[in-house]
Amino acid sequence: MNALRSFPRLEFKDANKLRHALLSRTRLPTFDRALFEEYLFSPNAFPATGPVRIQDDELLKFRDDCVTATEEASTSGGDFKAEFDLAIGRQLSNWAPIAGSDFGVVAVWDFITLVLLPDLAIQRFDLPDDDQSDNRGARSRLSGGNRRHVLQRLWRRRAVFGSQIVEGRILTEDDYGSLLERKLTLEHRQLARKVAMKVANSGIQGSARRDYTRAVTRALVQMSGVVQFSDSDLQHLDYAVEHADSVARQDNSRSMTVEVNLPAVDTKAMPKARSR
Amino acid sequence: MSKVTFYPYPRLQSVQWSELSVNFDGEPYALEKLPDVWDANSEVTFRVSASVDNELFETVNVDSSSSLLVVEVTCRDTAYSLTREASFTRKVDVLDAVAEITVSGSSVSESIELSAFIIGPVDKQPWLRRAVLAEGPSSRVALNSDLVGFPTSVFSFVEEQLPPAPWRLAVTAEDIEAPFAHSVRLELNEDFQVVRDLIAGKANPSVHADLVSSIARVLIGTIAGIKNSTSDSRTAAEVAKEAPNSIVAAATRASEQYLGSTIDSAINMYFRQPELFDYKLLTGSDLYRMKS
Repeated sequence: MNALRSFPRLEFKDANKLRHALLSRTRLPTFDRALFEEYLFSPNAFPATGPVRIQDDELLKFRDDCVTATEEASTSGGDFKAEFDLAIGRQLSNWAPIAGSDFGVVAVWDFITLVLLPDLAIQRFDLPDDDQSDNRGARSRLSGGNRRHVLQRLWRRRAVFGSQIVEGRILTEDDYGSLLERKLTLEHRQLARKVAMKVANSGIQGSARRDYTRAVTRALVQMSGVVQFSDSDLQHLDYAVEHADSVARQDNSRSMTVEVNLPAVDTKAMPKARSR
Repeated sequence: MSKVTFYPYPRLQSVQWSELSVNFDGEPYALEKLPDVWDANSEVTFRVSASVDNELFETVNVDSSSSLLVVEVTCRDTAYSLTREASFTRKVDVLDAVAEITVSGSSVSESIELSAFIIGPVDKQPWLRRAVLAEGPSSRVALNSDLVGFPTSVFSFVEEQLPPAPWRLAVTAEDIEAPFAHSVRLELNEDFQVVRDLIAGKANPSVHADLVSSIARVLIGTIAGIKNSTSDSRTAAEVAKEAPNSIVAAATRASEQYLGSTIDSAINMYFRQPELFDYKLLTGSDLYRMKS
């Protein structure tokens, strides 16, 4: 079953409706087979072209894998949330080669979370007691594409850092946060892995570590206005991380003066090189 | 307080860049047509070329044989990047390079960013080995036709059991850096005649102006609300600059275009002088203004 499959998409307005029903507790967070079939067989569920559509029994197998992983997490004796993140992340990375780039599609995560695995998603975080209170946090956990999304972030973690770093538990939640919120380290996986190793081996802990990780990442973002980072040039990434580390270690004031007279590399179209 | 000096590093002053060209399943294609044909089984090749006068490399003190033309594809949604490089070859007084990159549909989705650079070692420091000597064309390319233009859904509010209104905006952003395309959506209610006219391009211009002001108000209000409940020492304008495809970047453009002010002063106005905010928005969106 290693061939690429198209995964079902949940339309935005349906996602909104289901998300709201879950958050306002008008719908129980349980798997509803009828609802699953309704959305899976709806005419817009799959793109018109592309890989073979995933079958309902394959999706149910995916669900079973995740249910089993959740059960193992809750009986492991460790912290449920941490165990859940590891166990579900493992399943998501098993299925990632089958999903291919569909795991980058927001509407796919809405289907997986709101239709296929609503019970597991809700189990992972606490619903706010009062649905009228600012439930932005809870909503973001259930909104595909959001970087705090309860499941998508676990897949992203595995995709960016690889199973060795994730299973080795060498990064804190803060570390994941600061590395994945920056476009540079999110997209340049090898760079993110090198920073991860640097941070893990730094021996710095607690809030000093959070500041250090942020400072290294910030230095790299600033350097990206000057140099081009390539995941294929690993030696250069080593040099860059070394340099960012030395900048971060000098930087104990948390505010750095930088003279940047150059445009950032990822801004709007620049049809011609600048002449100045 | 440490200081990193990023300037002056020299840049090549005049480079002849080609356009970014696209080859889709063996055929040349227009960039903006890609969302119509792209799927996860497709392969897309991008190509760019650059030519530089021979002596130009001397002005930046870089040996042309150690310079490279680089083309890069990045995809935020799949947390992916790929680069391909090409060396320069000498043709009389000019150095030419052509770089080509092929991206598999199973690695990227939703949208990608393309960029091209000339890089070379400007300094002995090893991290400057890949210093950018020139920036070539860059482009954000939608792969999903849903992401072309403002994200919009059209449906009947009655069927969805929603209270009637011509439209509403659904916002799921929880931080101001959230990607715009995934955090805001316009929902149009096809039960309304004005909306059907709007879609058919037959509506009174003020309907359009009214919609635009709704969007601007919601975008700026969203940023104001989030900014107010989070602590971030950066101004909204700074964040917008760092994240050009974010919701705060969209709100920044809306503030400039419809309120004639920066995003940060628009936020201030939104909270402290709602009457002025409203007035400026009515003015900026040309609502009910008679065109002579």
